[in-house]
Amino acid sequence: MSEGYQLLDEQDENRKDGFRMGDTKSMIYLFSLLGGHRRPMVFAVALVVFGAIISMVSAYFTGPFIEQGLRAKNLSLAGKYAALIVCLEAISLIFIWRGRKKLAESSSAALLGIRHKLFLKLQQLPVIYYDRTPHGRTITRITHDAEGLEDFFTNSMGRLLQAALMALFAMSAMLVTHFALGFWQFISIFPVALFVYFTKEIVRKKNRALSKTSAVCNGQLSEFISGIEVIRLFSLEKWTKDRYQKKVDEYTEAHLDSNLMFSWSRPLILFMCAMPTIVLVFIAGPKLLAGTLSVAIFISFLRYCEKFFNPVSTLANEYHVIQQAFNQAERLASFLMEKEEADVFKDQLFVAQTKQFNFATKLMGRVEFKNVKMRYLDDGPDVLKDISFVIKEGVRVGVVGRTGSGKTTVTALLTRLYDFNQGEILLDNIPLRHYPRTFLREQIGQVSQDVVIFKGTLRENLGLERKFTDEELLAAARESGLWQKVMVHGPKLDDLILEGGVNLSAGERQLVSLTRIFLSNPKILIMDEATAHVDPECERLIHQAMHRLMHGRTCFLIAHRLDTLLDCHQVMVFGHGQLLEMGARDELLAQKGAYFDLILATEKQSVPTLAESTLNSQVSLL
Amino acid sequence: MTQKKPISTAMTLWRDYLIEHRWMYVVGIFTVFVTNASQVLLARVIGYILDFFSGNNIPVYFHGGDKLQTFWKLFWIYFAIRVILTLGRFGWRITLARQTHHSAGILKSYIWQHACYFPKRLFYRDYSKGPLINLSNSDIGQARFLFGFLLVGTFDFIFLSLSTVFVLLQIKPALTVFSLGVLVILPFIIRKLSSIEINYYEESQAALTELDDHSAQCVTSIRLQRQTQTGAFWTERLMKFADKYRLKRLRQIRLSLSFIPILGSVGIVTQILTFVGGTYYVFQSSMTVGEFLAFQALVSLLQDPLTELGFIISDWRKALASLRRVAMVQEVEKDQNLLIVANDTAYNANAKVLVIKNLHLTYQNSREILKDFNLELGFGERLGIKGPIGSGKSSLLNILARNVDEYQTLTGSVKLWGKELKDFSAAELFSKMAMVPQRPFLFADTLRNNLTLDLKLNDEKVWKILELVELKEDVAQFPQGIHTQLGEWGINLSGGQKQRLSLARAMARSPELLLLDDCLSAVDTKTEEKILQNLNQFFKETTLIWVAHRDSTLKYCEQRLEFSV
Repeated sequence: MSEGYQLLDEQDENRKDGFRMGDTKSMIYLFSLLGGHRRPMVFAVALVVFGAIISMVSAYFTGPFIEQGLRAKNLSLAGKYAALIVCLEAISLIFIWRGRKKLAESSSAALLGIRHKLFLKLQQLPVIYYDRTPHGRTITRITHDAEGLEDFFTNSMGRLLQAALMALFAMSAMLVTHFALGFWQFISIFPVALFVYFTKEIVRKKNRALSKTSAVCNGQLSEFISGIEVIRLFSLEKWTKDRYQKKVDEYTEAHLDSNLMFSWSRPLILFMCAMPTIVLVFIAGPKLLAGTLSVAIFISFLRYCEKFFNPVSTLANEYHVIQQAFNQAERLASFLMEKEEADVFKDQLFVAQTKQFNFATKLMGRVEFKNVKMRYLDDGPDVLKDISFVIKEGVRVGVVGRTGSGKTTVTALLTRLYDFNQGEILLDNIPLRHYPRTFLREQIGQVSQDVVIFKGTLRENLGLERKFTDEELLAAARESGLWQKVMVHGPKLDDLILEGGVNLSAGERQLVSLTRIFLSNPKILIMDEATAHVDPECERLIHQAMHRLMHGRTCFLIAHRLDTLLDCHQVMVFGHGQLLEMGARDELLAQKGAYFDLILATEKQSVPTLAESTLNSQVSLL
Repeated sequence: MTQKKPISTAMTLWRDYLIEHRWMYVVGIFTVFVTNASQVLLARVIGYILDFFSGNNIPVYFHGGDKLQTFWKLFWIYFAIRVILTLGRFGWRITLARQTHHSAGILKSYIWQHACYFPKRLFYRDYSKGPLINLSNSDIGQARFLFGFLLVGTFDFIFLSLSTVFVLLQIKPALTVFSLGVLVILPFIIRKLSSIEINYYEESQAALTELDDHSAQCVTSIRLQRQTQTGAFWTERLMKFADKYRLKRLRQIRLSLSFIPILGSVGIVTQILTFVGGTYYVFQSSMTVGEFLAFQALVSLLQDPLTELGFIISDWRKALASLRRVAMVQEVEKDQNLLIVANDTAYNANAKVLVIKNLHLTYQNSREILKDFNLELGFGERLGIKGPIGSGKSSLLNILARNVDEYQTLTGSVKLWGKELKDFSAAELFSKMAMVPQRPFLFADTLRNNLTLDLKLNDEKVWKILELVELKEDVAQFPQGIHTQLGEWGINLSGGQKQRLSLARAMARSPELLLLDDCLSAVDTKTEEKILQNLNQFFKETTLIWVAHRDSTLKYCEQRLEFSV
């Protein structure tokens, strides 16, 4: 199971914020999501019910078999009853087996549907949700919690249902066969029921401690591997051993603690589950002696108790499984109820327009911001404080500023990753909110350092959702440099690229990303420059490709190197959420303002560099 | 590495633990016996009770004064045995089962105690996160049963079957053989089925891991997906993995459900045999009704341990295989650098800090990174190294930090403070030298602990160092100051802050030689300038070797090296 995500599971128990549904309501809600799968599941349960009833009928006949058959030495009756008992047992077996099998199969299909809903939800949640919520929590929802629920429905539920039904029918049989006796049997199960009820919180707490301490140990191991370089560099081996030992001690402690509890509670539960038998003998004894009770009934009841014992002890010992399932249902239901992009963005008014929107619209690329204000959290500080600017079609703008100055936020607003709070953004003189988000994200190209590459053919990785002809793909590859660098000697269109693109270098992955942009041919480009850790040849190709890409398109270039700005018509300098300066490079330099300061700080150097030395000669020093 | 070693290491681990806790095991096994004896007796006593009510004879020791007294005697004996059974169950749990948990803890620390010395490359391959966590979870999860529950199960089987068969034979030997004829095939069927089930289970677990890994990836790359409209792609892939897992899991569940009809049929056949044989004997009056009932109860009692036997055999195999895998960590070769023992070679007071002679570094026996390289550095001197990516400029630092990987060949002499690099023990070397790696790695712990690591420093010193790396103001603004938790559940520092903290960590150790691998790349030039000046002022005696991209970083280095491809 994935890393330390279980830890977050437990942290969530204490979560006070956010929307919480009741446990039962959540289960009902999830059931409602099962749709067409509900009927097969109900049918399967009916099979198990029928099987359980037959089993009880078989138990009943043990009494007469022994009494009227064996004791009375009546061979024909003994034979008849024996045959009846065996046949009924066989039928019951078949029904229960088929029923549980059907239940497992239909639940499995139903849960796949729920998984689908979870995956779809991921795509609907706004980016701000992901910023606010630790990734681990979301990952736990769609992995650990979904599995837990899946496991419960396909596995545990069948078993527990069978147990519950067996217990129920055994008890009913007892009450039907001999009410007075049955009544005392019924009373005798109260101790175990009450015991389980009153200890369920403690059991839950102890079980949580088990999974929490286990996750903490796993998380620590994982961290050590991630940080092995640091461990070696600072000779921290002993330190890690001590650190880990503390966590292992807590783990052992939690397990011993739960062992102590189970050591006395489980045997006690088993004892209490045997109460019906004890009570039976206690009550039936004097009656049998007095002759007011037949031996046959006594024997039947003994059989009922047998059939009762195992199911009840199963239920008592596995109550926490049911608890956990409800818990997981509640977490999943709450997750599915989280606000989506459509709820959070103030564009509900234009939803109808989305349907009428002409997706073939060609953007010109004119961007205007009017007094835009934005903050991430309702009660947080303004990340953008009154931004206004106009960028005409085909203009290349370099965006500079320190981290936290707001430069990335401005571009994120264009692709509608976030919504702004005040002001207006206009695209080709039409308010941004009038455009469907999907359209915007297609029409605004993004180039960043991270590239998403799948395990698939190169063709799939380039075309993504859309289908392109080979000519189109190759043309784009030539423009981006992918052809020259990668495809001439390496993978062709139909060759497999591994997960994450590990059979490509960082630079080559960047070329794939650029090829995608050429294919989608957007009018507006947002480029996040950082080309760190890329080999020189790729760097050159990438720069050339970017230069070609930028031509004729409106570009926002988030620059990290000053020479990149040479390519730009204008430069925007951001600082502390404000647009400090905007204009052509020379103008800004002349102003000796924020831009000027930035240039000075970066280019300052006091020691002259040396002449270059080649690899195979002595390195000269000054 | 021979096959024998890991097995014997595993066996040694097991044997040593058992011997150390032998009294616990003796008492435990006794309680298992008590539990089983009680279960058997209970079945027998119910039989006597029925016989009593049927008017048949029951053993003399149950007789009371009159019928009623005899009944109560029977009842209280029954009750007493129930209580003893409960105590027995408590007994084996508190003795034997408990060892399962003790041993799990011991095995968990055992793994890291050995693994922390692994060569780094193992962590990228055989013992990466997935396998190591599997080892710590699943394998220990299985192996720990060898110390507790499996022993319970085995002795439970032995005692229960022996005592049950014993009592059955006492009632009617011929019938015993007749009825049990079919039951004895149970263990074999179960064993076969459970091996297949284990395979199915492992396959489904592998599919689950794949699904989970991709789900995690999907969540962490959501921003990018949103921007590039690749979300639907992801959803489709995840559904493929989810369906694959679902089908594998279903296959395993179907198999485990098939135990129901299989066990059920065997049970029914046995029941038929018991009915037929028992009826015959009761009609012959060579068996009482009570005995029949007891017989039936005992036969069904036997069904459980025989089923269990099948599982127990496969559990033993699984547990032993797991223990072997765990014990493997002791056998695996360790990082050579960590095996160097500290020696007392005194340092030459006149020696320079660093003297390198005739150093050759080749990559995969073809590419030469350094050839005939010589260098000398004295106290307080500063060396700046520059060069493009792929030119090997970090190599020098890596050589000093003894971080040369298996693909590189190194010859020549490197002496630090007059002593050969290879003669330093790890602890010794890193007490005098500290390196700040390119990518800052921080632990999920407080800021303070990330800075001090295994050193004991007072708060004043901590703040002082933070001031030197220009982090004092930042940290002062954090809600918990230096005790702020870092990481996903705490605060995520910016790239520049992480780098500065990483530098602070090395500086806190007051090293004589400080190696800095492009560790201020995310820090803006103004702040960088301040830090460099702090280094000049407060680390005057320390020798610094810088590797950097920007000339501004190498400003104060009197000596320079330039690498090119």
